[in-house]
Amino acid sequence: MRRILLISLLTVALPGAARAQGTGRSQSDAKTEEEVLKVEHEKDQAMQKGDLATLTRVYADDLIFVNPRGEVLSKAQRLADVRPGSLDYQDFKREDYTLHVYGNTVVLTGVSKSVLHNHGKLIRTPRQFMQVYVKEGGQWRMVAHHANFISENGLPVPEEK
Amino acid sequence: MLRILLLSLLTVALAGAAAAQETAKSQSDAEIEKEILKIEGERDQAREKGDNATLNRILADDYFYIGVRGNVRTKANRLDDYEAGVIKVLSVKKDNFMFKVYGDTVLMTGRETSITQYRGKPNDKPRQFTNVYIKLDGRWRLVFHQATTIGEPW
Repeated sequence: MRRILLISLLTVALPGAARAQGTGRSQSDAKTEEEVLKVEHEKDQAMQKGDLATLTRVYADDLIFVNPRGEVLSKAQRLADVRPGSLDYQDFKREDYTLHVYGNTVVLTGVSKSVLHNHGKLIRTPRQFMQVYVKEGGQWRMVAHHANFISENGLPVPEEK
Repeated sequence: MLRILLLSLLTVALAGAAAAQETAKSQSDAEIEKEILKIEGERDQAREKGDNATLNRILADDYFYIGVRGNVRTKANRLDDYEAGVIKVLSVKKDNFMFKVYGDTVLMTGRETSITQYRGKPNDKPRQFTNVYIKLDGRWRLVFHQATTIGEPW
């Protein structure tokens, strides 16, 4: 049961627009996509504000977070990373969303072009990321995140794996 | 007094039932993990041999791949790369596995130090990977893979 939807950043701000792009999707999947995008948007807002209460609600207790350096963080470690003063967004921009719906699981991918200071280090290289959302107790929660830096030359990227 | 005794017995019985249920759940998850490891082993063998028939069976039709440089590939892209010999897997080595089971979804993470080649260029750098397996029509299929070189500078 494959459902894919390419969604622009505008769609995140206006979830209703997703319906127009969703020709062929079931109503159920379209609803799921809207729900997950709403949570994703709340999470993004929380990351910018350093709103740990919202992030604590969105991140599953057993979150696996892999950053672009290949480090594996737990929920507690990730929350510590997001605290104001550790992570400081100068510009927040995410795009090229793709959602795959499998019942109570959604795999969301996208590109982050956000510019931020991470522990004082300026990061402006775009990142390709993936997130897995699972519905637990009636709530969509993020159980996994994995991000890679995108090669800067814009050419087809040599695969090393 | 009798009421207290009955309540105590009921509590013990319920606790026992809950423990049994938990054990059953753990066993079930352990069985799923074993099943996923078996499929992952088959996939690795297929990668080494360039066995596209097996890869075609394991990868879901909407398989999504993000490579170490942020490159996005589809199932067709990956199979074409193996077919053309663009990618070669010379040896497979993986460890540090971690599994999270959510019903018909399994998250698998681990470290890979396999030796691979892309257009003749070898890669033996350690990579951290995430796999997402979903049970589709009664079969576990790999729907997503992402790998990141460990220790990349910020």
